[in-house]
Parts: sequence; structure tokens; C-alpha cells
Amino acid sequence: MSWTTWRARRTFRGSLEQLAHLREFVNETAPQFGCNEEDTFAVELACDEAAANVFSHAFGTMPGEIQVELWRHDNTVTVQMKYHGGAFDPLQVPMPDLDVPLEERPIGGLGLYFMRQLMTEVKFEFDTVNGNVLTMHRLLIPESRG
Amino acid sequence: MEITVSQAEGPKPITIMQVHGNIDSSSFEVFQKRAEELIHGGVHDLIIDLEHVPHMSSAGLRALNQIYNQLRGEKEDQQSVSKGVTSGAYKAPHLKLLAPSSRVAQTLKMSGFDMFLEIHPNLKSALASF
Repeated sequence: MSWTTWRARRTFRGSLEQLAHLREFVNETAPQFGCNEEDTFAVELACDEAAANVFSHAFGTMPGEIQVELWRHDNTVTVQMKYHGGAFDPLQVPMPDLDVPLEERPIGGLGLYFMRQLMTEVKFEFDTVNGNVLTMHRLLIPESRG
Repeated sequence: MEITVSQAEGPKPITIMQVHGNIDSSSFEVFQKRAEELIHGGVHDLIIDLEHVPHMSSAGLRALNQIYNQLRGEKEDQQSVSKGVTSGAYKAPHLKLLAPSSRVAQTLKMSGFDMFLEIHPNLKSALASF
């Protein structure tokens, strides 16, 4: 059976209170795609960080929503988040320097760092039809490969 | 999120803050505010019990960072802290973490927070470490 047949999609209101529901969705879906505990944790935390960033910055005072889609192709699990709102420019976020003591570190940037640590590839795009599209791929660790 | 606060009996007053619930972008402010209230109220030594925290994101780590900064002793000068962190000899003297789940422990490790903050498996060892 091909993993490409596995696809799940859900839309969430653009509010920080939705983070728990989003994590639940990922936590229930990823194991069905053959993700083991570590892969599931990685995808769930990366989604939390990505969505928290969108909910905090993209919508301003306007109501917004975010469409989250997960699928698996071969040994890669992909999460795609689509939303209309302020675009996110990752180049504006400094990478945290983990070698310096806590109090010297700039606040922020850690969420994006997590996303990049946990996922094999993180891509931000914008087009007029879909709005902002955030795509994250994770190459599954060997024992998860079904 | 529910937070219960208790005081350990001993020669030195040590406060234990037990958190129930996830610490994410929607809840970190409640967590951070409660800790700050304790610190402003005179708490110098704090154990944060994470046993009942299934999930912590970078928002929770930022809150821990703020709490750590507020508990830093005046004697801890920046240079010696930096040196100690690099050599592995420095751990925060006034803030200790207790019993994180494997997921939360992984988040602490990934961020390098475990280099500064002691993580204890049980209350006895956390109390004895002050």
C-alpha cells in the first residue's frame, strides 16, 4: 500500500486556544502515517511552534483561520499550513546562539530554531491564491519506515 | 492550567511550584506571572515541578528564561557564569526543575536549557541540591 493515500486535513480558527486542538490532531494523525513516538513528537512540536507564530503575528485584530494538511510520501511526512494574513519572513528572525548563557540570548527565534531542528526542511511561500503557505518535511527515522 | 504552590520544610525556605497542564503560547503567561508573583513576594529558591506538564513549547522556555533571570543572585557575575556554562561547571543555584516527561526533557535538551538548569528525578534530590 502506498503512503501517498494517507492524507488528513483540518481547519482551525486563528486563536492561541486552538493550539491544543492542533497538537491533538497531529498527535492522532501522525501515528496513522507510520510515525513512531519520536517522529510524532517532532511533527507535533514543529506544528505548535509554527501555528503559535501564525496565531500571534499573522492575523492582527482580524479573525483568521489556518488550514493544516498532513501527508506521507515514501519516507517523508509533510505538514502544510495555509493562511491569509501577514506574511512571515524567517530571514528577519535571528537564529538563537545556544552557546551563550540564557540571559544573553535574544528572546524569540527559538520557535523557528525548533522547527528547523525537528524537521528536515522548512519552507515559507506566498502567493495570491493560497496566501501564506508553510511547508515542513520530515524524513522519518528508520524504524518508522513502514 | 493549574498551579499549586507549597513550601518545603528545612533549614532554608524552598518553594515548590507544581504545574498541571501544557505550557505553550496560550498558557505561558499564567505560568510566568505566578512565578514572578512568588519572586516579588520574597521567594529566592524555587523548584518547578514539571511532572504534570505533558507538553512545553519554546513559549514555556522563554518563561523559564525570564524566571531564571529574576532568580539570579547578585553575586553571579556574567563572566564567571559564561565560563562555568562553557565548562559545564555552572548550574543555576536558585531554580531547579523536577521530573519532566521525556518529551519536555527533550525540549529542554534541544534548546540547551539543560546546560544551565538542573533537572532532578525526584523531590528529595531537588531539595538536597540547594
